[in-house]
Amino acid sequence: MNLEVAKRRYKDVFLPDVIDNTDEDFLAKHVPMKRLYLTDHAELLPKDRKNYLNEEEIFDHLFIESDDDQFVLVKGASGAGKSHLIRWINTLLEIKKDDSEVILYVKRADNTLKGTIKQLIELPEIRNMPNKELYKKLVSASTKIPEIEFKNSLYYGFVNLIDSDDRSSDDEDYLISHVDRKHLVALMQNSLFKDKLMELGGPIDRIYTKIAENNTDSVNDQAAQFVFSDFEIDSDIQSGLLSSGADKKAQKLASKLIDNQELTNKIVLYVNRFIEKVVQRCTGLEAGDLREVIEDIRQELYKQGKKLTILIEDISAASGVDDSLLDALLTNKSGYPDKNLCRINSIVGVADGYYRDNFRTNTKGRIKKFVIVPDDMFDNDQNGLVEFVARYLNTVSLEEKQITEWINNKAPANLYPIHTVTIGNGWGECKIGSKSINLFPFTKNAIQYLYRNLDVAQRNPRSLMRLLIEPYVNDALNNLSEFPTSRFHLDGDTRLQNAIFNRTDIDDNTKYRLSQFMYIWGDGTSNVYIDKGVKYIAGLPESVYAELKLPVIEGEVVDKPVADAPETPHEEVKPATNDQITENKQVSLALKEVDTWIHNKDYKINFGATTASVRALNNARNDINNYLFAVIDWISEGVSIDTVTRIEDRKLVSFERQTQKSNSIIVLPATLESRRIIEAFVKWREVGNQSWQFPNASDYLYLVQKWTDSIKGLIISEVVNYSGKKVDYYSYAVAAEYYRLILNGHCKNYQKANNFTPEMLLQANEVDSSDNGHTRLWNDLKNITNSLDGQQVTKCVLQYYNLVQGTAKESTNYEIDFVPYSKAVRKVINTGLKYEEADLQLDDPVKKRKIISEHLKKILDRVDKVVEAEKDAIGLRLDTLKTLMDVNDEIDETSIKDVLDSVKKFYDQAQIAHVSVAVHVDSQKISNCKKNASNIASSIKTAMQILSIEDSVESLIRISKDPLFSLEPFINLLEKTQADVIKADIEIKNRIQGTSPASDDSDNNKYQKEKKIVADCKAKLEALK
Amino acid sequence: MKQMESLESAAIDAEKKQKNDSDYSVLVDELALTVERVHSAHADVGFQPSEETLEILSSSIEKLEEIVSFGVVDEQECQTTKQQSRKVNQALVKEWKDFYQKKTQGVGTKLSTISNLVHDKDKISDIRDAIEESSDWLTITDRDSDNHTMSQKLSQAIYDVDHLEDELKLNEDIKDFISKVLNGTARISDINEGIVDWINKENLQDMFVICFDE
Repeated sequence: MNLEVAKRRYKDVFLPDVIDNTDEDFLAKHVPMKRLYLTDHAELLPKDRKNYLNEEEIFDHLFIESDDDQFVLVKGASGAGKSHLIRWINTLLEIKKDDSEVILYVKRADNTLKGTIKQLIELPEIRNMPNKELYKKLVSASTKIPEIEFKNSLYYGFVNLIDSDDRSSDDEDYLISHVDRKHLVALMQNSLFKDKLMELGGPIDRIYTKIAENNTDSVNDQAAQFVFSDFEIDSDIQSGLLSSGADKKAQKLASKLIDNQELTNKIVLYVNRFIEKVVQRCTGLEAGDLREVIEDIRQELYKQGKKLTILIEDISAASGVDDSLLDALLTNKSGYPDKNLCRINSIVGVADGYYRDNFRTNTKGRIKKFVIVPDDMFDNDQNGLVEFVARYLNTVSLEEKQITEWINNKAPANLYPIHTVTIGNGWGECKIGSKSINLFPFTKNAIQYLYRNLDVAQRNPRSLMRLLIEPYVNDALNNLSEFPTSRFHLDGDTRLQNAIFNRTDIDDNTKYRLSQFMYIWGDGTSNVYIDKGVKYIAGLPESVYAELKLPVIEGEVVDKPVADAPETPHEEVKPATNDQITENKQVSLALKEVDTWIHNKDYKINFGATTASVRALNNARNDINNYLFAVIDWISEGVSIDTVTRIEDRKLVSFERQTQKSNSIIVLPATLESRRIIEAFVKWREVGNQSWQFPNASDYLYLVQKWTDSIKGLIISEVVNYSGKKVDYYSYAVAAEYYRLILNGHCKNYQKANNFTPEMLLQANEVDSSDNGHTRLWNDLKNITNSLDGQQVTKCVLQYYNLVQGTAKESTNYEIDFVPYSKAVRKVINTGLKYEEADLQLDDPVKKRKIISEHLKKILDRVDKVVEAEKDAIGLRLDTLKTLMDVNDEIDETSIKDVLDSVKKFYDQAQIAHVSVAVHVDSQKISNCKKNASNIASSIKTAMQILSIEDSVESLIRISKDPLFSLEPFINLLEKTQADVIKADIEIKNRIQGTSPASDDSDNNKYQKEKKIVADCKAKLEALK
Repeated sequence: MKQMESLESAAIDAEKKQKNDSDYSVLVDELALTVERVHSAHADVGFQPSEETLEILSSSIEKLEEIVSFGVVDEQECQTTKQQSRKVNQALVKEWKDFYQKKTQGVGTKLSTISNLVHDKDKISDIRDAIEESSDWLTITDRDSDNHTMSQKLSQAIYDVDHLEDELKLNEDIKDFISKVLNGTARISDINEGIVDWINKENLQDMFVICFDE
């Protein structure tokens, strides 16, 4: 390479499209196309493959002296070299043509509708054509309309035509049902969906750019049509339609289109059928306009005794009128002798996809000559591949005048200029005839390796130029000290790579460069040989390493390899065996992703993606986690298995720059060491089938163990600490569990939490689901403590110090390590179960630990309210009781029984006196209360004590005795009796009024004698006392 | 409720009411008589019923007021009190019997001792009658022709015996000797000089004989 020239010429030579190059550069870069097919059918058949022609043979076939019209479709994949071939034909035609031949070459750069027509009417030969000015006006008409207005016209043109499409559904061409068509109209009328189709790069924009003037330099080779993704509906759009209250019909179609590839494709095909009509209507061009223009031109040329050759690089450029254009070009003059049309020879380029999807069946039928340009042109032509690259490299290093001079001499092959090498001696050369072109910054190995690594669809000239040549030339020109930049993942034998990566005296970047260089530019080994006094390592001279400032890693000394045998014309690159591919695919994909991650500082790994590479990395990440959990002896490190279990769903390891948020302990930096660790685990899974049984496994295992030792301390520390605090979730679990015990009535025999014992927690402590006299708040809190979270807490309390046997993580056979258990529990007991919010670890990043703090907080937040509610309820009932009987500290069983006797007596008397309330008597209840008299008396005392206690936990414990449960039936009985007494009084009063005899004086004196006697008796008895 | 019940009962059955009134009146009289007996016995001879009996009696008297507190007789209460009255009387009969025996035992002995020494044999006979007549509690307040109650007569009899004994001026040795003679347990050795003098002085030689024990 001539560095100085290349730096200057680089941008001119590596233009986006070959057609933009000057003729000189074009020819200097041109590599004869050796494998072209001339057929009378569009698709290449296996038998056709044997009969390939080179470009000169094709030219000779197409341009034999004839007066007949000819239409040739040059067909191939995008980037396969169709344009290149057509341009080469044009260049050759310009050289070989006679004076009667008028050549119209429609470039891709002008691939708009108007651009095409413009080129046609600006031919010098038709300067005097009658309608020329009219056509000029026609072409410029649409440019006056503002872009947004024009796009809207296009959009609603489609809606209008679809809505008006009244063909019968039985029509074969009618791809979608009548209902779907109506729904499609509704969908397209929806503003949300319209925005999607109208966005930049969308179908309307694509169509617009094909119609309007193209002022950009970019290659406009996108077809002006709808594609699958335009009608692809995702959940966002669907929910958008739903939330915006879109027409039900639109919503129905949107729902139907989700994951319905068949219908989507049908709709795309269907809508695309309207493109031509819509464009014609919006541009004001009629279907016949273009045909008329071409007919006029042919008539004009006929008058002048000339013949027309039209070379159209890409017919898709004429979107909207392509059918009319094709029709005009396919019009054979022999069919219209009266029209006096000149001979027309049309060479038209078209991409495979456009031909397949957009050419009408009848048009296809009229085309009888095809030149097929294969997209795997270099697959079996390694020399051609190297020559292709070499010519680019040569052209970029040549002064323009050198090339011009060569062209002026009719570009003879033997005078093909070769640049003066200023950098890159020793990198290898490409022989073209007797000349050699320096391949810097490539070697033959590099070109072939990089070509193989291109996607099959990208192995065409344009992609080669863009993806292979240009980037590396750019690197060489601008950043040789970093050459080669890692762009490809290295497959195959990784021994050399391991040897490089294991070096400790060179930095990661250099390791990468060296491994890339030795694998891709060299032969992928560290073999050394001497040839003519020059030392070669990996097939590359030592000086090359020095030029790139790369260290030299010398391996085995070998004999100089035998010179390459002459290449056979169809030598196939030997593919790897199926087994190897299968075995290494996942590893390769994963490491490729890792390499990208390491090299691109902006690259983020998205573990949510489902690509195979990310899946493998995700597996590796999980495997690393599992490995670390398994390999660390937690018990020996003083960490409870329960603590470990709680962080098991936490990723111990995450990757730097991963898209997912992570609270991992270890972040793997994007370094080679991380790569080696990841590689080890990917191989463990993919190659070793989840074992360390794979080549060089011991090296990887050693590396992993070393790495584990280096991070173990940090992991353990992070497991038992966070934010500088020691995790204390066990204490919270114990406290919460004690609250559960209290609320379930297992602490009735205690008065204060400080008197609790560790043994209490080891009892059965069943959930109390029996009826009780507590408030709703109490029962709600009890339910919280008995909830799933509560059960987890109970489990935690028991499992934390459980000496689990074997490999189990938990067991229901508890063998508690009592000493530390007792110590931990007593620590909680000593707090009196009182924790402030600040005492809890609510900011613990480990969810499974944090939920225990949250659970306890939930309980603590409610305790005071529960106690208050319970006290209120107890106070209320006690007050009621006090209105019904004497309540004091001396109350005992007898007091209760006396009251109950009175009650019984009341009802008995009521029964005797036939007072209606007598029916209310509930002897069973009275009897039960009597039996329970002792409890009732005790509950009254407890209730009075509860009201006098200030401490909430102590109150809670006392309340757990549930005094109201015993009291309630008793109080209810008394309340009922009280009510009955009142009722009875009223009834009695009424009945007495109805039955009392009329009172008179005699009544007043009644029993006077007896009363007097009684009085005397009393007086006498009094004297005796 | 009871008042209502009584009123209602009374209204339903006037005849029953009359009977109730009658029963009540009888009950009052009965209890008043009992109180009178207690009162007289206490006043005349110092009879004191037991506390329990006295409590029941008081309670019964209280009940008498309650029975008619609603203006009509509470039949049930009346019956209850009647039963209570019977119990009181039974108790008093028993307690009087005990009291009477204790009270009259000494008097009877004295009377036997002095009956042969006193010349007014009618007097002795009257005393004996009076003591005997007062043994029945149920007649303790009955009066004789002189309008004296039995308890008064008992009281007088006791007084009379003591008085007669005082008039005989007997010392303790003589009283003891007479007592032994009355019991048939006197021995020659019981006779001393004072006794011989007293026999001679009162000219009682014919009243004492010596015999052999079988």
